[in-house]
Amino acid sequence: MQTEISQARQPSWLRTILIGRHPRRTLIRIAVIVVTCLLLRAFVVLPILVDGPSMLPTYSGGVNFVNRLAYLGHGPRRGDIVAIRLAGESIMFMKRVIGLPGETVEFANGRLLINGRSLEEPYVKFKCNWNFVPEHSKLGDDEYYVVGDNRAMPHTDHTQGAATRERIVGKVLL
Amino acid sequence: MKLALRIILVVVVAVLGVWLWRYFHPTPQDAIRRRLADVARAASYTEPGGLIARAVKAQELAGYFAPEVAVRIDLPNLSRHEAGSRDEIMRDAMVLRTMFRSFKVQLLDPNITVGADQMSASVDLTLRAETAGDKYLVVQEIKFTLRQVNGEWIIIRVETVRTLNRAPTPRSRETPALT
Repeated sequence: MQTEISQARQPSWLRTILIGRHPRRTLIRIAVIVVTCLLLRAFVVLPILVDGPSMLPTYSGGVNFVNRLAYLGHGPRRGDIVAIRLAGESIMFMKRVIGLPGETVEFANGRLLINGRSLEEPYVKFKCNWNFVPEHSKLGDDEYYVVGDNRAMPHTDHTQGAATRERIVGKVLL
Repeated sequence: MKLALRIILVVVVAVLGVWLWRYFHPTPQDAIRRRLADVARAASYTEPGGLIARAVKAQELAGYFAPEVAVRIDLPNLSRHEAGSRDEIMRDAMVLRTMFRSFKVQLLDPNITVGADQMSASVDLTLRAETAGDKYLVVQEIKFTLRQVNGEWIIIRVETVRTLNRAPTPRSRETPALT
C-alpha cells in the first residue's frame, strides 16, 4: 500500500526535465542565470553578428563578442579591432584602429602614413592604391582613426574616419 | 508556494497597471517613440501597390512632417537628399515606390531629448533602410527635430549625423599634372 502512494507522488519524467525535482531551486537557478547574462551583456561582453565586406578577409561574418572592459586601464591601441556605436548599440561599425590621438593619418599609393612615415600593415591582404588625406588630418586628443581591412574597395565606398573615444564600445574578442 | 504565487500576481498586476497608465498618458518620450515607429511603418512597404495606393501611402508619410520641413540627408556612398516641404516628401515617397519592389525602414536606438518647454525635441537615432534582397542597404545616424502642434509631434527637421569625422579628401598628388 505504501509503495503505491510513493509512486503516485513521484513527479513525471517530463515534469522533472522541465522544472527539475525541486521547482523552487530551479526557479532560483533560472533567475540567477538570467540576471548574470543581462549583467554580463550590459557591462562585460556584448555579442555581435558580423556582416558586410569592410573587414574582409579578417572577418567575413558570423558571431563575435565585444569586450567592454578592454579599455578600462588604457585607450585603444593601434591594430586593435573595435566596435563603434552609432546612435546606440543595435548597429555598430567594426573597424581597425590605425591612428591614435594627435597623429596625422594619410594614404599614399595604398600605403598608410602615420605622421608622414610609412607603417606596415600585415593584416591587409587586399592591396590598394588609395591616395587621400583625411580632413584636418591631425587627430584630436580624443580621436582614433579607424578603417576596415578590405582596402580593395574604393576609399569613397569605405566607411572610415575619426571616432571619438566615447563612441568606441570595446575591443572585438575573437 | 501560495505566497510566491501571490507575489508574482501582484507584480504582474502592477506591471500591467503601469503599462496601461503609460499607454493612455504617454510621456513626451513615449509619444515621440510611437510617432517614429509610425513614420518607419509608413515609409516601409512590401509591395509598391497601384497609383492610388502609392499616393495614399505617400500622403500618410508626408503627414508626419511639418508643411515647411527641412530635410537634408547625406547617405553614405549614395547621394545627398534634400526636401523642403510636405509635397516634396510625398513626391519622393512616390518615386521610391516606383524604384523598389519593397522597402524596409527601421529607426533604431532613439536618444530623445525633450526641450525645457516640453514642446520641442531632438532625436538622435540610427536609420537602417533596405530594399528587396539587400540590393541597397543604408545605415546612417540621423537627427530628427520635432515640435508639438495640437498635441501631435511633427517632424520639422531631418539631418545626418557624422559618426566618423574627418572623411577622406583626395590628396593633391591625385590631381593630374599638366605637363
